[in-house]
This record gives sequence, C-alpha cells and structure tokens, in this order.
Amino acid sequence: MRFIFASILSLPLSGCPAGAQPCSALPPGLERDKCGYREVMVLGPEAAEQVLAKAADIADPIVRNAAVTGWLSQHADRIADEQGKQLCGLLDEKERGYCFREHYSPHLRR
Amino acid sequence: MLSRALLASLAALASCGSEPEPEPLSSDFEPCLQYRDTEGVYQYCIARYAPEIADVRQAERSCGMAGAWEKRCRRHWVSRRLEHGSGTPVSTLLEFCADDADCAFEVLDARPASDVLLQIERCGSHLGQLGRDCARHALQRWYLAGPDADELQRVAQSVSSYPRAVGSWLGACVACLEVGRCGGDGPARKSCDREARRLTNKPEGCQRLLKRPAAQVPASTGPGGGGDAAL
Repeated sequence: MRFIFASILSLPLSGCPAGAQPCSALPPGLERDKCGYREVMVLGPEAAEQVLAKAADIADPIVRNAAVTGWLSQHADRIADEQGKQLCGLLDEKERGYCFREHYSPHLRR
Repeated sequence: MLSRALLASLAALASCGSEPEPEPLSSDFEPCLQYRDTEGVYQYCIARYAPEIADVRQAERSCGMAGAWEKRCRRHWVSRRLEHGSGTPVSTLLEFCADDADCAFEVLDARPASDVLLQIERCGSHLGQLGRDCARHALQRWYLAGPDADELQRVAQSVSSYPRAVGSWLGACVACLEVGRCGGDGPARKSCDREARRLTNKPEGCQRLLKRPAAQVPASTGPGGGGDAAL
C-alpha cells in the first residue's frame, strides 16, 4: 500500500508519465508520433537540426504537419532560410506550398 | 495532508495531456478524434479538414476552434473555394480572410473585377502594403487584354492610389501596343511619359512584359519598377 502511494506521489505534477522517456523508446504508432510532436514543440530556434530529425521521424502526416508548422510559426524568423525550407519540405504537398509562401515568399518578407 | 497530495496527483494524472472538452464537431472531423488528447495536433487537424465544409458559418465556427492554425484554416477554406469555382461571392471570401492580406490578395488576383480601376481600388482598400503588387497584377492583365485608345484615356484620367504604377503601364501601352498617348496629369502622366520613352528606346523591354503571367510578376519587375509605395 505504501509503495502504491509512493509511486503515485512521485509522478510529476503534469501527470504525464510518458514524458519521462524519450519518444524513440515507444513502439511505432500514433502515441509515439504524438510524443514526437510534444518533443518538437518544446525545442527552441537553436534546435532546428533536432526538429528536422524528430519531425522526419513522425510517421503520421497530420501530426508531422502540426509539429513542423507549429514550430515554424514560432521560430521561422530566427532560423536559417535553408533549415526552414528543409522543414517545409517535410510537409505533405498541400501544406508545403503554403509553408514556402508564408515564410519565404519575397513579397511577404518586405 | 497525505490524502490531499494523493488527490492532487490523481487529478493531475487523470487530466494527462487532455484539455477541456471542446464543442462537438460535425462528422467531417471524425478523422481528428484520434488526436483529441494532443491539443495542437487536434487543432491542426480541424484546420486541415474545415476547408472541406461548404457552409460558411459552420466553417467560420470550425476555424475558430483551430487555435494557432485559425489563419491557415481560413486561408485554406478560401483557397478551396477559389480552386473549385464555388461561386462564393468575393465579399464573403474577403470577409473570411479576416486580417490576412495575403489571403485577400489571392482572392482579388483569382477573381479580379472586370474594370481595372475598380480592381485597383479594391487592392488599395483590402491589402495594405500588398496593394501595390495587386494593382500591378491588375494593370498587367489589363495591358495583356489590349486596351483601346478610349480605355487608355479613361484610365489615364482616373485618380488612383497607385498613380505611378498606372502611369508606367499606360506608358507601356503607348510604346509597346502603339495605342493612344500619355494623358492626364500629375505623377501618372510623368510616369507614363518616362516609361513610354524608355520602352521606345528599348523595345525589347516590351517582350518582357508579355512573357510573365500576371500572377507571378514580382514587385521589382514590370514597367516602372516601383515608387508608389512612397505615395
């Protein structure tokens, strides 16, 4: 009984035990992808390379698009254009064009 | 003390990764249900599927639930209506764009007014800084349609927010299409005279105006090259 109490109380207050292990430790599937999304979203602009790698590892296109577009919307203006374009390149076709236009179209950057 | 801490931990555990229950959505969003426990992904998913909804009020409500992706949701909804020639009125599309000038630019470029002066007026009133590019697109389409001398005169005598751009394209008509002459006065007249002279001296410049599809002309090309931004 005491062990159970101790175990529950040792959980972080966020109540998300899955966050304690890296996403790569999870079996492939939606939960691992959602975990990857959460990992990407806490990274800062200095971690663009990591974002590229983690986003590429997300198999579900909706989750991957959400991670890439969500991260870019916060950091696109603080990363190298080349990295941003590589990230746009990870998106599916429908989203890709909009991504390039939104962040790298000359007429919107003036 | 122990029981209070235990309850707090259990409550936190129960709410792991979840958000307050959102309003029920139509069956259009069924594919999004699997993402409901990850707010950002769920909102993105809504933004992704909302453009399929034809009803404007329902789409409005759905995009309103897309969080950080609301602007994208609105943009995709509008693009979708334009792609499919939905017949949705321009005013509805512009309203749906909300404060996204690039979205409004897409609408005005895809559904231009048949009168170039009306189109230029719309560019100015809806697009802010992008208005000048929009006006240039309108003027190039007008030029490519081959206006006659009367039409040239009508445009030359008009008052617009982008007189230099108008003047440059009038000059292109005079020099390249050999229609009419520079009329009116003020900055448009000066710009017309200058551009007509330039293209008369360098007629190869006329070819360049024909080659570029209007929707792809960057701001730095086309007659004149700039100037109205400062007006």
